[in-house]
Amino acid sequence: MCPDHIVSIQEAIARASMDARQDSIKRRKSKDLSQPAAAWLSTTRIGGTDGTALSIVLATIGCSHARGISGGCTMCSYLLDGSETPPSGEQIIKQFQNAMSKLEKKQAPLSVKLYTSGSFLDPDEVPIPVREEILLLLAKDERVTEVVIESRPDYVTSKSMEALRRALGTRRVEIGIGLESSNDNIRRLCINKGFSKQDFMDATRVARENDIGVRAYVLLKPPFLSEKTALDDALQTVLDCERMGVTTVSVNPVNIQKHTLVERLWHRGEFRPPWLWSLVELLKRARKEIDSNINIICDPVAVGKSRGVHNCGKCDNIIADSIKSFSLSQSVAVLDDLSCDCLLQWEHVIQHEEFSSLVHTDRHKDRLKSLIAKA
Amino acid sequence: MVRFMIRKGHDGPARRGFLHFAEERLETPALLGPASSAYSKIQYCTVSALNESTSGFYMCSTGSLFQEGAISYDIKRANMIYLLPSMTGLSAMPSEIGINYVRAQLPAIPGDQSDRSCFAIRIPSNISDSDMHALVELIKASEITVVAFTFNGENGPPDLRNLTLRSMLPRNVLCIALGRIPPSMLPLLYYVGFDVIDFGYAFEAASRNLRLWGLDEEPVGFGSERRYCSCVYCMGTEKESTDPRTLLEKHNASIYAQVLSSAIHFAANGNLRWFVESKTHASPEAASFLRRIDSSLYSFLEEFTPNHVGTKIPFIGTESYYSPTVIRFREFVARRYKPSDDKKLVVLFPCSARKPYSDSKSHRRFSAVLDRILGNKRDAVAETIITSPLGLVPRELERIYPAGYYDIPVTGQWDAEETTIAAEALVTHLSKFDESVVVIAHVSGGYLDVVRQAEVQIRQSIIYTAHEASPTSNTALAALKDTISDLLDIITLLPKRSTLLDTIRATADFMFGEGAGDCLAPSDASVRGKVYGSIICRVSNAQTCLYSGINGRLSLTLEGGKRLASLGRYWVRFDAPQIEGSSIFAVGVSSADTAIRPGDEVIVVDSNDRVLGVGRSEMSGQEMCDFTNGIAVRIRHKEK
Ligand code: SF4
Ligand SMILES: [Zn+2]
Ligand SMILES: [Zn+2]
Repeated sequence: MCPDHIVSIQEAIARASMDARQDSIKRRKSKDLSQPAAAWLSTTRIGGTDGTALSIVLATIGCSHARGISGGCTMCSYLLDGSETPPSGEQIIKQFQNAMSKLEKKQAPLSVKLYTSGSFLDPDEVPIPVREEILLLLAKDERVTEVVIESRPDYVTSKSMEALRRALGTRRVEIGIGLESSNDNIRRLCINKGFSKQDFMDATRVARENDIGVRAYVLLKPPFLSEKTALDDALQTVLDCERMGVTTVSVNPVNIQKHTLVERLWHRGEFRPPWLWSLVELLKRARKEIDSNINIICDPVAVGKSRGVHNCGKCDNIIADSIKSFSLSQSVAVLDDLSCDCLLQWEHVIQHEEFSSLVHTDRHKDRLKSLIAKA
Repeated sequence: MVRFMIRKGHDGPARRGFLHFAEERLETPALLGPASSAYSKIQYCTVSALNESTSGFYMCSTGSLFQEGAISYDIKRANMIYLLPSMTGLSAMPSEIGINYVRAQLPAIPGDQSDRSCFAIRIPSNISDSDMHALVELIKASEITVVAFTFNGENGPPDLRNLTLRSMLPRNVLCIALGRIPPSMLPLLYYVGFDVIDFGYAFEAASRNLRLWGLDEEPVGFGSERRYCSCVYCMGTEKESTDPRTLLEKHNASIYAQVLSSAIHFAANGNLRWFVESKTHASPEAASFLRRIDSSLYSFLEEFTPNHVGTKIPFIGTESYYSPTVIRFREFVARRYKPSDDKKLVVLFPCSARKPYSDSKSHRRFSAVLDRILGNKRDAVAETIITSPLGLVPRELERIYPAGYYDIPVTGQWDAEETTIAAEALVTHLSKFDESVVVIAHVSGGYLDVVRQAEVQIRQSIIYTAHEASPTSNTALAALKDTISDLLDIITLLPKRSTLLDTIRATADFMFGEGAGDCLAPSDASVRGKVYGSIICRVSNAQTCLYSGINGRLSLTLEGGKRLASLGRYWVRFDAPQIEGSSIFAVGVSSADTAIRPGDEVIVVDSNDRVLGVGRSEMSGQEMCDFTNGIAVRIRHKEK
């Protein structure tokens, strides 16, 4: 590929991504800054036993990548969960404590997932003293045996990793990084991710040196790709994850978030979220091909909805359940016997979309519905 | 080296041709589909799935633009076109991404590969006009022979944009239409110049339990009664398969084959436009799509629309009001027709189903009245026929295409649009006559509405002679007679016999533009013959042209060509001292008047503007310049 043209395409996509976000950032609702953006409990596997997981999304100023002039990722509007006026350090700690209160009566083992609408390790989002304070509070809680945080690789330095390890002692720690794709072109252009595969590998190495695991987020179907290319790319990414020393793979099919470039494309009939069949295919093949010590998890957003990963509407629920149980059991058997009429449609899309370069939207589904209604 | 050769014959931009590979040639238009279908004249495949024992023609997709690592091309493979890397979702993105995407495709062609003719570039719909102009230069400079567009089949702005971009391409590039193309859209794509058409939608439809038809789709397998189909797949008489889905796929594919073969057939007869119009009834979107194409691509469509076809041309629906043939006729009459000065009376008549009008019963009756009352002064009357959708036809031009060839459903009812079209034509027409001329409107019903609507803008006085009864009724005919005899008391008509001369002059102006009548048939010309037979026109004993009453057209003699050459129109410049043989080829044409349409009378000149011969064009003037193969002009007379 000729760099000049590619650079122009990249810049234009970044501008378009920025454009789609526009002033949605300024229109963010003002919130109670002492409450987290979200916090919820779920059951999960923690080191071989069932335990409780608390996921916390701290309301911060939001992801630096989306905030800045780089335009942010083409499918992400997490920034909207953030707050326009940055919360003070005390407020962030308050948010954390309020969320932790949900664990009051829970038994060990506990897993705490610390998210922001960006990077927990970004000092602009969570100032370093605040980060230290939160880690200290976590370290005091003996029930917590696993901690997961999220960050862009930019902030995964040996300094931050050493501090993390020191603060959390022997606890299992994993850091989630949005690799999305191991293909630099796709990550850079289709996603506008703003970091390279090398950046990710460096971050992974530093984390692993400190005995911190890496959870790689793998994106299924960024824009500008056909269903087939997207599937191939996600599978390749999972395979590459194994090679790069990732400890957990989290597969994320694209969903349509507000005020994103992907939403714009979707509105114009130029994007369709991936088929559940693609996701099933990906999980099956990935599970068979990579080391069984690496968990492959998938908890898709808006599954079965037109904004989320979906099939024909008839089979979506069953398949979603199978994916859920796959995530827990890691057994491909639960994905084996799925079938539906719409499989043929998906097969057509896999064959024809790449060739024709046409996004095969569901607009025909609506027409079919009206035809049947008339008949 | 792959070459695209266009065969002769035109009906709009639609063409037939051959894509020449090293040893075999693919006939176009052709359907493009999966290898599994016998209806795929070109089969699609992917680089990774190439197998050795392939026969037939192939189009190979090379994956995504973002793919890492070099794509493996086997450019020595026979009968293969490589489709350069894809990028989806562009119609919603700015033009600069589109143009850079196209440029980024080119480096995907292996560097040491000088032959670019087997690579098809993909042109996204979001390219701006100026970017497209740059792209066209790039295509001309390279050996790119094949380009592909992607249609979503919704007849919306992206599809329309594709057609606009396609119209800007050099004429001799093979165009592929990819995407979701329903059978009803196929004739249109062929009409606007697509040579290879993807019928993958046959299979998508089958996967959704839809049975395709020429105009619509039928959901099957939902308990409703199936429509009757006589194809072997639906009748269950095909041996190969019993699987309902496969049979449905085959039925769907066969519909494409059927529609395409009809389109080819109609194009050969000059009736493709009618076929295209009939398919617009598939949906309101399809109908408005054609309207939008007609208005935004008029000059493109018109360039390829022959001025003479010679078969009946049906104008059925409102779509025909703006078909290139119709618009061009209205424009030519408005711009080129000039009544002779001695016309003192204009009589407006309704059209007739029979063509030419003069042969119809109604016009024979009108004629009888005029003859009886005017005798040898009849030629002082400018007879004008009001009609839809042509607007109006001066009597002198009633035999020329399309006036002498069109068919419309005759109901006497006019819609507002056709009334306005005719009224505007009438206003323009009458503005060419002196204010003292009297207009007699021998029309009723919708025709009368036309005159009434135009009335405020007409300077002459108008007398209505058929507003109370049908124009052919005795009452109306008597009123016509009385009106004219009354008028004869006031205005003086000079006796003259000038039908032949008027016809030649008007036809010359119509075919070659203003001044042509003066060149070929000045007032001292000698004309002999019959309007319904043929007329020979001589000036100082040298024949200039021959008029044929069968098609209402003139053919030039060498003398006529020399006289006409001074106007600087309809010339073809041929780089040789002399014409050898009975035709000249596009490769020998250095330049040509871009007003030339297929079928026009043209004058062949050398580089010093010396007339070498006259003949009939086989292609448009632009094509003569662009093409390096094919017959440009069939010579009728030449300098020995
Ligand atoms: S995906 Fe992550 S890095 Fe990209 S904009 Fe969203 S929060 Fe920031
Ligand atoms: Zn289904
Ligand atoms: Zn059938």
